[in-house]
Amino acid sequence: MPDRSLDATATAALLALLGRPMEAAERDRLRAALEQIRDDVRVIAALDLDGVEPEARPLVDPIDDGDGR
Amino acid sequence: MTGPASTGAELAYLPLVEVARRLAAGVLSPVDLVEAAINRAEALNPRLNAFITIEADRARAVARESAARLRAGRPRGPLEGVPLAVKDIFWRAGRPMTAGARRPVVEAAPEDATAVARLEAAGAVLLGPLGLHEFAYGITSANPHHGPVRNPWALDHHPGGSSGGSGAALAAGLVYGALGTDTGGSIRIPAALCGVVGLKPTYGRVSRHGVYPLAWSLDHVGPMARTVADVALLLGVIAGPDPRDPTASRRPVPDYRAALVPAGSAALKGWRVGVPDGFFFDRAEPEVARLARGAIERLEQLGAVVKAVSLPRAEAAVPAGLLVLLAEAASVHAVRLAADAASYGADVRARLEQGRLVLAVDYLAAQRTRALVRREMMEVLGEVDCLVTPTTPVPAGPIDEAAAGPGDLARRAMTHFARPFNLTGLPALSLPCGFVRAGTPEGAGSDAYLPVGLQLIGRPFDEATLLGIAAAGEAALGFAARRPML
Repeated sequence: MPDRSLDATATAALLALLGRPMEAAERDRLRAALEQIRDDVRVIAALDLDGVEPEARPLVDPIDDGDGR
Repeated sequence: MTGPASTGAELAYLPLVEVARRLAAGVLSPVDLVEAAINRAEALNPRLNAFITIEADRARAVARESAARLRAGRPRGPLEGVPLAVKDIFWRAGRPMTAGARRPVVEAAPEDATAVARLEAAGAVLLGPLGLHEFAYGITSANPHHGPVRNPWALDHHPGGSSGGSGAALAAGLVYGALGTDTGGSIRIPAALCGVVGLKPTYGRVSRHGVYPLAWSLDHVGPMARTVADVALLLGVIAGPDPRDPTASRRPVPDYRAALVPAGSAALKGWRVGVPDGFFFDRAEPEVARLARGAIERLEQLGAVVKAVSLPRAEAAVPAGLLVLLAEAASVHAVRLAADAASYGADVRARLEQGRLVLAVDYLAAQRTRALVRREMMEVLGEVDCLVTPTTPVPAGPIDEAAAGPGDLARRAMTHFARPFNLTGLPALSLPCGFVRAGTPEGAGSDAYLPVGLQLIGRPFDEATLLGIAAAGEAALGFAARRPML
């Protein structure tokens, strides 16, 4: 099984991004959501992305490329 | 399974292209046709909740104008007098747009969305806004503010989403065509679960101007209808350049109807169909996978060359697409969420808050994955004319479960096969390919049958090939004539 635990400090820092008080149950739910994100990131991290640049759009039609749009 | 009829069902279930032909020939009157559509919608909508509002008076007035144009021999276009409807996420000039939210996002839209304007410029009569999952951010259309949209094939089941009202209205014969939006399957999933045809075009093929965004780099606008030919007609109307959407391509719009492959025993001779191994079939319920494979065999019997292909990185497109969606949706909703979090339904609010936890480095890793996955898919699409998979791994589920908030795993599962093609922008179409019994995967315990969809994926801007192959498959499979019991 992959290690799904998050460092407690990192978790607290990320949940603080939401900027509001939370009940314990809600905090647990968000921690689970955060762990889901980390799981997704681990799947991607298993790919060899060396030399691959990010693409902000799914595709650009070659017809439109180069006209400044 | 073919349902009996409510009054006017034969007229209600005619293909869009056929009603358009009859209207143009003067055999049908727009006034009578729209009145019949309003009557049917008002009779069935209390059970289906497909429409948020039926704008009967406005539709009647537009129908009278349409009739006058036809009498004068000056039709606006190929949709003159045809009753259609759009998901309530498109601007309609002067009218409210809820986007499925508790309160309208726009009280009076400043203008029509480009796709809506093009439908009306072609003569369409819009009957009213269709229901959806709140802010298009979910796959059940179990809307906490406007009530759940119901699946015409089994009223205690959801129709899929987020364009659930569009799918339900089509399956129930309330409209002849509809528009949806698709960020992670939101056209194709309700099309599959309602037994109709839905097309997510290539990213950039249809303008998104005037559509409330969910995730800018994943959002697509597309047509839904009961037949492939109807979808081809609608796509030809709404596609094309638009200076108000910087992602809209300037590529000319072909005649999609001319690309439809005529039915016949060798209709697909020479076409190459790729069937991905692994992920797309292994994750489907056995009965869904069986129906999809059966449909692929029919394509082969029509002369298509069926070839196994490998897309080992496609599975990574699911988490990558989710990360992009989470981050972009959180950005779209940042101000509204901060100001009025209580106005959101619980499931959508939870997803938006989850999105705030995506790091910039994760978002960029997902965008790098996008490039990698697209490269792999383009290589495979150099060897075949289209790819074929099930549209969803499972059929529609019960509304009770959906209203309780589908578990995150259930939501992820429903979008597994659709999401990779939002990330990569490739055109993808869902075609009905069979039915399974409601209730359990094996169908025990219910008399209701639920539709299953086959997904066809093509090269960028090659919707014509998809529509051509889908039309031949539709004729061979014969599911377009099936109707739910209502």
